[in-house]
Amino acid sequence: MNNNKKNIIFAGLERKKWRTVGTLSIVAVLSFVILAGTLLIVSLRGGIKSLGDRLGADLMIVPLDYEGGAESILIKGEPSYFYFDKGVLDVLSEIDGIEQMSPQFYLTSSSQGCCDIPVQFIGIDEKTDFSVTPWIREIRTKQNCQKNGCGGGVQASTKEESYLPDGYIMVGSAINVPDDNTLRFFDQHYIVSAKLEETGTGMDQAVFANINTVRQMFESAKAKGFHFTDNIDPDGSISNIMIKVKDGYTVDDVKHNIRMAADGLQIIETKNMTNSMESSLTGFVAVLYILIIMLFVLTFVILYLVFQLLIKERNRIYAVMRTVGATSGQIRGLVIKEAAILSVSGSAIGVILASLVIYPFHQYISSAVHIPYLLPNVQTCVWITVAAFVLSSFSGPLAAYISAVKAGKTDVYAAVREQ
Amino acid sequence: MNDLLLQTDKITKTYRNGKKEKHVLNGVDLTVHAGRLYAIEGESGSGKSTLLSILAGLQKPDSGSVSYWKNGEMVELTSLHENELAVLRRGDIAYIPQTCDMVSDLTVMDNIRLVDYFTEKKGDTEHLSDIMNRLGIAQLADAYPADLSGGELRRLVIARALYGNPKVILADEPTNDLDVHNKKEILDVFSDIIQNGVAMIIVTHDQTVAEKADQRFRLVDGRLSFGDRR
Repeated sequence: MNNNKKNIIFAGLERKKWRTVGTLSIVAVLSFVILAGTLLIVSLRGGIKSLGDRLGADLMIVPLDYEGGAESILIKGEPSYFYFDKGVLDVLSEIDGIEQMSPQFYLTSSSQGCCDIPVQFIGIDEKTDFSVTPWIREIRTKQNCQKNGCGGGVQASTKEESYLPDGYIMVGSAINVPDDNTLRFFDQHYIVSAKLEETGTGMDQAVFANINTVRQMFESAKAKGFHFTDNIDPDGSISNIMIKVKDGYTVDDVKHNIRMAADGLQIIETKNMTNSMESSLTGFVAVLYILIIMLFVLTFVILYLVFQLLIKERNRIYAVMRTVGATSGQIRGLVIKEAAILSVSGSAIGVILASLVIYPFHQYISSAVHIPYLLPNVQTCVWITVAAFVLSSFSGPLAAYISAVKAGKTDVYAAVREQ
Repeated sequence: MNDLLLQTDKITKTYRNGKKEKHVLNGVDLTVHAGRLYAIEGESGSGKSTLLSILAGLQKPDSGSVSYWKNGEMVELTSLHENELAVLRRGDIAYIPQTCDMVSDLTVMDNIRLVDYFTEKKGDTEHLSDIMNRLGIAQLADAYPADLSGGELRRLVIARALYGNPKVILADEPTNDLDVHNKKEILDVFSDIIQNGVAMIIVTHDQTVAEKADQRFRLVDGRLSFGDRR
């Protein structure tokens, strides 16, 4: 004789295994979609914002018809290269409305024997750069703090310090660095001085160096006979000019001025780049929210029907329980508790499954969506996970409430008399 | 042992179905004392089960009163809230319905101590064991209701009623579908219970059961008339 009383709710769930599994699954799907969908939306929004923040520039100048190339690098992380005469810098320096401008030089490596990995190289002019340097400065400051301690505050690195001396590179977060901290490109070894924080943009797959270093890589590539280097004078060429517009001028003013001063250039408004992504995202977000709402309603309806059937099935049992002394409140409580157990368990399963998919594979998702994708910080992720769990957990008790009230109001005498 | 336990005063009950009315109880007076067996007989549909359900607090009469003496103090059942009546059914008044409905997900033992799921009290395993032995179902403790025969289910229903140590047991056709041998055993159990001071009211069609009663009643036209007394 087993003297331990069996839990009445778990006993019922155990005996109706398929109904239990079915109900758990429905709620698990709901919580999975809520969590995965919300994380997707927040990560995409975060990635787009990160892109805007990291660019730092109002305008980008690339060769005519190479807007797609620039987007490939910055958004998709697909290596690309294009060049135009650096003499354009002199022309632009005369134009009104430009507060700061800085050239960049691009190169791509290869997956062939010359190089450890295929990547995008972005060479920056440390003296004028204002988009990548602040980012690099943050990393350096953190590194200094970790090495020397920061006492009462973070020690800022000096502005005069070169963050990227010749022969040194910094890599994006998605690039794997060997233990010896060097990477080989075109048979030359370069020291990795830091790994940058994740941005969720194509810059996570890029390697940053000063322009001289990248031009040297160019020469090494030429020496190796790589054809993409033909007919280009690296010292006289640049790939991109990042421009910050002066206060008091509009972006359109400066664009107009640039068009008047030089042709053969593609002028990209960085705001448009992020705005167009935001617009596509708005539609996607709306669809996802509608899907989530529909799924919630569907789950609610299914659970409502399940519990209505359950109450009908158990009508006489509940009546018998009342005859031995259960109150109507206790009967209601049994129904609600059963619903809560099912929906909390289902929610937990869904949230765990979604976490197992989203968190370990977020880099893969990032490269698959071709839109900047930045997973939020840990605290935000936890809040989203908890919210998805709680929302889904409520589906069961809400759906079962009407059935629970009905079960509590059973006409006991009529029910026990039913044949 | 003739302590007064239950008393009704002119209770009436009418069932309405659209424009049709059926006056099932028309002023029933009944007095129940401890340690006695009462049998209520009558035609089908005469209101016997209705009377029992009113005594158990499962229904309220349309008029009249039902009084219960708990530890010498009178409690007016008809004025109690549904939750208060439920508390009485946990330990004072036990109701044995005609059907043998059990919680199929629970074992025989857990079905007997079903009331423990709704009280704060810790179950009494010794008492449980004693009841199961008395009713000859101890060996079925870990079995499930679906595995039991009709006779075993009847014993289980009675065991469930006895578990709460009631003062009054209200049983609706408790020997239904039982063979002669099982019926005799059940009646022997009832005798033991009565001898311990419990009052028992049985609704029955069975003459052999009714003959065992200390007082027999007949319910005719909604009124209770005395039958034979033992």
